[in-house]
Amino acid sequence: MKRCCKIGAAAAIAGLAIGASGCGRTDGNRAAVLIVARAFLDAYASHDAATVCRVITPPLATSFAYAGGGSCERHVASTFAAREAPAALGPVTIDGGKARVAVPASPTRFVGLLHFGSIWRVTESWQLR
Amino acid sequence: MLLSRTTTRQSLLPTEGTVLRSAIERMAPWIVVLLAPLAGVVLLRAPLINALPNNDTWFYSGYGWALAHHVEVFGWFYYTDRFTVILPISVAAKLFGPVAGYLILRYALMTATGALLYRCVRRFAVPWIAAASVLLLALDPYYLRLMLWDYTTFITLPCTIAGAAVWYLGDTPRQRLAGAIAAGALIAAAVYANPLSALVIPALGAPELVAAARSRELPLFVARLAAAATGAVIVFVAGYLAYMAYLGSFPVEDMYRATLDFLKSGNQLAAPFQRPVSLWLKTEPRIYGPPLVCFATVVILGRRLLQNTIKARVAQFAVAYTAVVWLYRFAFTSSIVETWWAYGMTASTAAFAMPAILDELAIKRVRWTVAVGIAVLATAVVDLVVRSGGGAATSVYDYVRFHPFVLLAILTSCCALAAGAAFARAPRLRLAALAAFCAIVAGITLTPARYIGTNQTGEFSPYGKTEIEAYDAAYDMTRLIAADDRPQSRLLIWSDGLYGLTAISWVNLPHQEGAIESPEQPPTPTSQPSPSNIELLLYPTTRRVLVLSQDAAELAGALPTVRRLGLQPHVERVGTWVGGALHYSLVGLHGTR
Repeated sequence: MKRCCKIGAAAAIAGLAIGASGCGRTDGNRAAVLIVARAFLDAYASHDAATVCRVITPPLATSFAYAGGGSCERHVASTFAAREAPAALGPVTIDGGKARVAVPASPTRFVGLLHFGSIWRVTESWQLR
Repeated sequence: MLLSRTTTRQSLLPTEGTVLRSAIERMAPWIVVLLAPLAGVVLLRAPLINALPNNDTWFYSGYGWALAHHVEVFGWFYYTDRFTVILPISVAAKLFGPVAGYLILRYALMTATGALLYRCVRRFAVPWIAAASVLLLALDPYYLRLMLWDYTTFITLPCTIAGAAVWYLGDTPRQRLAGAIAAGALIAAAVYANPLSALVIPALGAPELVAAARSRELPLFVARLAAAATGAVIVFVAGYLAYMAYLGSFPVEDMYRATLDFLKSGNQLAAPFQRPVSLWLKTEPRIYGPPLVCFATVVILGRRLLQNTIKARVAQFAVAYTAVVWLYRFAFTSSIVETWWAYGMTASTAAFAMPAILDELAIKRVRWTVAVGIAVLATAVVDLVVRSGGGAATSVYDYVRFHPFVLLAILTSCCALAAGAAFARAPRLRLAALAAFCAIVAGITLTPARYIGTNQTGEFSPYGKTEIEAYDAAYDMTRLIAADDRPQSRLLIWSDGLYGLTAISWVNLPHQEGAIESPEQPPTPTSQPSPSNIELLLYPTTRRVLVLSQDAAELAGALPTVRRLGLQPHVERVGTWVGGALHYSLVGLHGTR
């Protein structure tokens, strides 16, 4: 039995040593969150309803499609205000599958995202209604 | 006087021939243990890898081959938590390469399980009964099939059997606590691999609790339980440390949070897969193998089953395991045990029941050498005949499936044969009954599964040798994707379906948007992408696609589609996998989205 314990410990150490070769990755999720948030804000600023509908979460897209009589784009287009410069984005905070991107120019504004499968999608923003 | 003393001493000394014979006798059962996995593969004509007809098995291959990538890109799902499955795949592939690593890992697991079972059975039976038990386990299609893929069962089943074996093996004054720690570690490894394996705890614990109470050793039993819990903690800590070596520092909650969430929503997720009990009982003859073995155990051991001996306790566990699975099936809203891969865990029953049965027959004056030979021979012949039968065999099984009275007649006669093996007066009749019983159980166990099955005897893959090439290709593909795919610059698989050879796409979790093709929608050619395919191609983080098809024309069809969407495709690499049967093309997607 002692020999089994020794073998087990050796296997665990070997596993750790082999696994250690996988270290050194930097997490790209913050960058991904910023890309999606940027695409969303740019699309809103340029009145690109198709891109807005593409990057929001599927449940949100479904509810917008319902509100737009079968078309998410139609509903989103109806919410566009006058064209404005896209907001600058601030720091990203990620908590598990949720992310939040601050908008430095306005402390009350932010873009909320969810990790859907392996893709970050917008679920919350001051423009979405 | 001196002469006669020398002569006496010489006659007492073993001759060279005696020493050799003794060594062979000692070694031969161990040679059987070492060769049993190979015998199982040959006699059951089992493909060494059985992954293409199934999806879930690929998740674990993918996580094993690219753990850091998968966790970064996909995050934590319940299958990510299954470190006792993912780490062995990872370590074996890194040490020996994907296919050799897979095969060496299987052989090591099966041989180690066989060796522990052998030593456990040796506590109450002669070496050849113990060796035959290991051989019968290797010839059990439930066991062999569950070992020959990357799905969790290749860990849960051997760890369950080895854990129970070590529990009994360690029940000696010198090894009680060390044995319990090792048993706890093995059973915990099974439970971490798949929580359903926890069914072994009541199956092993309840009879052991009764045994401890009867022998007034409850404090010792509690101490052994505590030692087993320590073993479980040791495995968890080792797994966490190993994951940290791959992933860097991360909260320990990640190791179990997704699993707990999955278990909480288990009933809701299982609801759509529920099947009426009557349908399960009528149309799945394969489920009756373990209950028949339980019946034989009860009938043949009789009152001796209720004793407190190691043999009786081992047999009690064997019966209890299937009883607990059936109780779970009827008492809980869960579709899990209805699937052939989950129900296959009842191979634990035969593993421990057969040695008890063979030993009991030896006590009942049946020549044990003949009994052992006949049990193994009957099982081996049926395995080989059925697996060689192809379509003819499946037709016979279909006939039985759709004629409940035929099934009932088979089950009744099998019970009668078990009774015959127990009570027939003539030893020859007992042996004949035993042979027929083993043959029927082997035949029933090989029935193709109706529920989520592939209509193959024993549920072995129909793809044969292609499986090995596909597995190798899946590894290459995973490494290729993991090298470039990042959350902010995704490389997604784009195939014209997720079946056949393109089933290897499941290593990159297409159901979690690791592929353009959605498994929830009908397959579409790359020249006619569905709206959801277009959405993913145009997604702001999508930078590359790995187009995958058995048809080379599909690869060419992808490029005009990309151009139509306003992107400029840039072919970075083309090639083939699976001996030229699977074409791929790595395409960069340039342009604004």
